[in-house]
Amino acid sequence: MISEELVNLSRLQFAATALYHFLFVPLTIGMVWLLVIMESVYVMTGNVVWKDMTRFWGKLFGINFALGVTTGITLEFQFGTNWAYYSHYVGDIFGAPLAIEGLMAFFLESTMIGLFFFGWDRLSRTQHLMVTVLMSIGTNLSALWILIANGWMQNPVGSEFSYLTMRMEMVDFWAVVFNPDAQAKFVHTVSAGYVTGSMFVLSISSWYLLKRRDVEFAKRSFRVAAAFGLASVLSVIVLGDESGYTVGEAQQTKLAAMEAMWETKPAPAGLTLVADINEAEQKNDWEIEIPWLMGLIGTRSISKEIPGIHEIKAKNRERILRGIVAVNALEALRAQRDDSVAKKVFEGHKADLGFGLLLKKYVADVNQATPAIIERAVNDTVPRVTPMFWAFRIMVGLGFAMLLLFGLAFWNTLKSVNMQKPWLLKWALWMLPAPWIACELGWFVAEYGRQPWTIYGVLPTHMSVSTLSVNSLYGSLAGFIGFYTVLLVVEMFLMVKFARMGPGSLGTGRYDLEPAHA
Amino acid sequence: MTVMKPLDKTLVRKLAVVLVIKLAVLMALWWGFVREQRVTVDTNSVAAQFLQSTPIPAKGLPQ
Repeated sequence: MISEELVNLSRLQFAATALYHFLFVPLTIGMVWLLVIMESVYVMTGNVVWKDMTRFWGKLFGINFALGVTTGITLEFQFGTNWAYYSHYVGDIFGAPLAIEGLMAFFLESTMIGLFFFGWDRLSRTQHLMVTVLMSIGTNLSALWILIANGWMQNPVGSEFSYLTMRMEMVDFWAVVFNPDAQAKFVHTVSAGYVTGSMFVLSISSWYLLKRRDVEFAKRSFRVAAAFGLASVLSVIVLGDESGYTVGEAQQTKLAAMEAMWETKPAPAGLTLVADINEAEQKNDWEIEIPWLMGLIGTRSISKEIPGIHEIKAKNRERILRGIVAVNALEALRAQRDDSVAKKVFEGHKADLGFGLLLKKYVADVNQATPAIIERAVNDTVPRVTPMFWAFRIMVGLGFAMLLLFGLAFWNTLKSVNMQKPWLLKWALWMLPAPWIACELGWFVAEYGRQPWTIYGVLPTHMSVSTLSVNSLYGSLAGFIGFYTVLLVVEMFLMVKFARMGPGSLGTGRYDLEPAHA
Repeated sequence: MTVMKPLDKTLVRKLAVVLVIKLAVLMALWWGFVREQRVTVDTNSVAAQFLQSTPIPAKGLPQ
């Protein structure tokens, strides 16, 4: 059987590289649209301060892009190196959006980034603005295709298993593209990126305003960030609600774990605000609940029930038993491909094949699974509740804190009194890490909440890993973490250095702290 | 033609160095930990892994 240490190390390596990668990504996604807004105002008004804003914030964007680029490529390599069985099993479907992302989006984004930085005096104002717009479209298209791939992992539509090739095959490309999970994830994730970009500009502008330097530059930057940030954080919250609905439709175990919902409650279920979770006894010792809210978010109705963990486990127990039949029928079909009886049985049970494969974590032959082993597999079908419950709540809490901040920032900048509110500027400065923490927690909820599957309901995680040596994984894991940490330190160093210099680093002679040699 | 400011030149140089180092480190990681690790996966090996008719290999190291 596959060693659990191997599975855990492979997961840890992927999680670590993905979480590092997503420190860079949301800032890139968010900053590009802020640059479009700033440059559009420059093109419309001809006021050079807006050009300076585009160039200065563009420089910080460029540092982030240069440091972040290639951190995602290692993830794609890991599909081949660490997740070879996964790649064989679902590569036909999963590979398509990744390939399109590289060809359509990443090349567009990279080409336009070159023109953005080196085209200021070679292109007309309008042409340069078009370059910035195309750069933004490329960045967002990149996110779209990645999230289509990830959305399919959460809700594997438009595909079916072939016993001849032992892999999932795509039967409907557009079902994969318009997968509700993927679309909800895309809009939620890019909006979170917009919030990150806005918070970055808002925080640094607040620092300039607190220091009373580059005031006109900082006030305009603050205003753009406050307005765009407010619109974005509202989008994140509304689209997060949509994401919650799609999770309720396609991934009941994830929703139940996020809500620590052990028992099925009468419709419409209440939303548990906080709870003392008792995982050992599978119950909440106490909880504070908002009536109706979970039912409305999760089902969009007041009459549909949301199944609790115990009910889901009971259904999964049945699916595991049917999965054993599917595994046996598949085996018979592999031995004799024209066995019509086996084919009929397999067709009737193949939806539960993945559930049968859950037993392979404990026994080589699923027919040898004892009731105790089946019970362990049943328990595996729901992720641990405590980390899911709290990660989700911290993410949502940060989202609402940012909504309040952006709301106040927007109101005060409209009234042009933000300079007289040092508490607001300090708050904005200290909130700088908030969107990154929220983004990382969001990914944790999405990916940890999908366990024990790599493809929800289809392919168990422990059946997906390559049979590598554990030592090589320890080595590469340490190498990746060390390498990415260095990248992060270099990023922080350069960002802090140029943020401290401010727009004076442009050397235009119009700002405070101009370098002597500029 | 645009004359690049000294600060921008320094930044571009630093970013270029970072990019080169990145590629070098990634290559070193691949060379050290991945290059020798070949896992051949095809229809039969997946069937062997997923079904019980064939013994499941503990490790897929090159022979």
